[in-house]
Amino acid sequence: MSKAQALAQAQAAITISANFDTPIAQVSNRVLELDPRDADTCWQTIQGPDPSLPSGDGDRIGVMLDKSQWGGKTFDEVMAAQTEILPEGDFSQEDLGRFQLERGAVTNFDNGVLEITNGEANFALLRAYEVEAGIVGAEMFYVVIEAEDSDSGTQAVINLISFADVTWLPISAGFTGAGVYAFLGRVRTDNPPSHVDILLGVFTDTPGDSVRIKSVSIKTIPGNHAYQETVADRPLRTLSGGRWSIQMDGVNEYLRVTYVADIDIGGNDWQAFSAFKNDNAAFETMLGWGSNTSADNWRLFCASGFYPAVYTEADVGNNRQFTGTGLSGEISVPMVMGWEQDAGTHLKGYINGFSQTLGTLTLPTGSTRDLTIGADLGTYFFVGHIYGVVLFNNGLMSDADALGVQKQLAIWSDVRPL
Amino acid sequence: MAPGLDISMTVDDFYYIKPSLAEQLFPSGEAGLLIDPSQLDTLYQSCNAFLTPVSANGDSVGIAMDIRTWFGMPFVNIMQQQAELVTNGDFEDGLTGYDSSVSNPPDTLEIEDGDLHIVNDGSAIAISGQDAASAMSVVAGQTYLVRARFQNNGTGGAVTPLLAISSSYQGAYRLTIISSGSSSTSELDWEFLFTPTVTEDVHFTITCASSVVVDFDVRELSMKLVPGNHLLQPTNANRPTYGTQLGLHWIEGNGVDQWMDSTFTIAQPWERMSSLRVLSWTSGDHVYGGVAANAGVIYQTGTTPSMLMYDGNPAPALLDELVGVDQTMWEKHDNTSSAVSVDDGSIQTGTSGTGVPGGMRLFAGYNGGVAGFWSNARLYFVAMKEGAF
Repeated sequence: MSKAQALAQAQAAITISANFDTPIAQVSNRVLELDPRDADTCWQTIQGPDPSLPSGDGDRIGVMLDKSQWGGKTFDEVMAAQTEILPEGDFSQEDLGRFQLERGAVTNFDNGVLEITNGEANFALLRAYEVEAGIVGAEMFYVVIEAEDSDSGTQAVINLISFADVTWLPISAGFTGAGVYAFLGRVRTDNPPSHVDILLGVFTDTPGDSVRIKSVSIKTIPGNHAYQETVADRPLRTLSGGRWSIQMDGVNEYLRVTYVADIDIGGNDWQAFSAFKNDNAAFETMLGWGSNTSADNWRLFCASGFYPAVYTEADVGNNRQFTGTGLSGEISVPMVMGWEQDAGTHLKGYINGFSQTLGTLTLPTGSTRDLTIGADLGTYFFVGHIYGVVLFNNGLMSDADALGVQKQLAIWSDVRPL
Repeated sequence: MAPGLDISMTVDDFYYIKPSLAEQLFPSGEAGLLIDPSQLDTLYQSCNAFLTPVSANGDSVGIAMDIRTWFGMPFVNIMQQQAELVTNGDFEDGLTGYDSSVSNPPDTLEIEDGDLHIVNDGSAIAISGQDAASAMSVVAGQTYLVRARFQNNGTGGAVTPLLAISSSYQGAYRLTIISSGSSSTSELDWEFLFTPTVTEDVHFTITCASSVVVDFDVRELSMKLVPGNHLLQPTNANRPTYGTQLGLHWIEGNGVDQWMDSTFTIAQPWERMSSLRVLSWTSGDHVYGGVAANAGVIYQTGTTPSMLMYDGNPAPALLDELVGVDQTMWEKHDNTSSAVSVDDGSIQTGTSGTGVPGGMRLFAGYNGGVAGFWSNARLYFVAMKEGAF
């Protein structure tokens, strides 16, 4: 018994624990939290054409949901608490409400189930108009449709449409039985919509095919979500040594977060923390925005020789490196780094829990660039694994908070002291 | 009062309700040591100077205190319970134990408002505290916490108190503590560690290194044993350093000249449980060595990293050791039944010999009585115990 106690104490002495520090969830003003361990937040696609698929080991990441606004709750708990944008969608009043049948026929509508059937045009179309006004361009939607193909053989299909009948969200699902179909949808920013329409249809060539719809739910997903629209540029979600990571190839893979004021690092006090394993000592970007030639370029990166640094095009030649000796011996070693800035006048860097004040650096202000993770929108792609990214809008963080955040990220990534 | 409810309990009492880890590992106060660098109130930069805490990466570690008999208490609390070695350190018995019949006596030496009041006309003063009849007995290698409180009464010049611990009554100074001159009338509250190299009776000598008129009080003199077999390094240049990252804490030796040791008697069979990381590999370097003999050893050997136990014979061996990796290590030093394992893995057995180490040397070997074969390594935790865990 005593030996077990001695062993437990010896093991505790080399086990990083966040039990007695401020965990990430308790630090205020958190605006981005990407956690590749959480399967609920990692999806292969941003939207259709199939029901959104979770990103498993080796799958690409099209969307990584930001948990910073979730209050420590699971995705299901968060979505259950979100406001229903389409309250008529439960059909409990057996009233179409904002829905309107544009093609086909309502063949049954009782017990809260709506059945629509192909007509002479070989498809039935149910449309809900103007589900929400004033939609923010970067918002992610979560759409859940409970439906049943009411005949055998042919497929019923669900489609969604947005942008007031202008641009389709290519989300569709073909199904032959009963089921609950969940979709992530992201409103495009190049043509911000005034509202979203939803189309549900039985898109088959067989007259008489029908579908029973029990409910349609649409809710926004809170957070500043990271995504990659281009399939070939999507990083992988990988599991290695018991640790989930966003794996980036250093060629073209990265994630981006659409600009919102909260993540305007140039215009805010901020703290950024990341757990990662860098597999290359060249110039690489952990977080950044702009391209390397634009005046508002800014990035947190590793200079050649693996000197973690803050760089801004507005202050060329004045990288703020925060190791005096470089970390070339730490290539492919998991570590936690952090950076924070207080109104552009104080800059501080962290590595594995110890900090270094970096002086001042002229930072771009008021940029409306998207935040990028693993690139700076052009070059300096990161090669390696990212185990977590957290961003806060605070002044300089207390030492206890900064240590707590780093310890938690260290636990995610099995970081050891350098 | 309801049965079992004692509202007079204090925080100190509370420590006794649940046996501390130290009490569980050393229920009978067995010989050995328990070092936990995460308890920062057990690490100080020197064992013969002001009580300077270790707090930042790179701070020197002059003493790492053995907490195996501390009942889980912090340093402050265990010291409150230690016996006072100074007679009349609070001056409640007047001038008993204090003697002004020394060279350069002060103009005034009296008890005033419960303090030892000293006025001097400008020449040097020397007040031997603790006369021959009330000397303090100290033991070589043990560490003592000394506290002295001074008050400048403000009517004289800057007060530069000097407190010396002398080898005999008015004898050679073993340790001298002095502060810069201060005209401040705020209290000077000194706490410092004293680790004698000679077992003897010692005395305090208070002087004031000043040629101006001074008027000050001595409010308290205290000396208490800090219980335990502490790891010590009296020489600044040879002190290991403290490191901390991500809430882990360790003591690190540079593999060149940094080490510590603790002298105590321990007989086979004995065991050691530790967590450590070897930072670089040099065949022959000792993670642990003996103090009085070449025993109690764990040393690096071979070109393929492996570690050997040695109490007179090199066995058993830990093969395929990993450099740069945190690990736990369990050892049993019991001659023909010796054993060792890493991370609670397979147990290697062998005959290590019958040597007794006379304590524990960290990051260095016995090397014929002078430290050598320094190891570049970290220590996160170590418990060494006579008998078995």
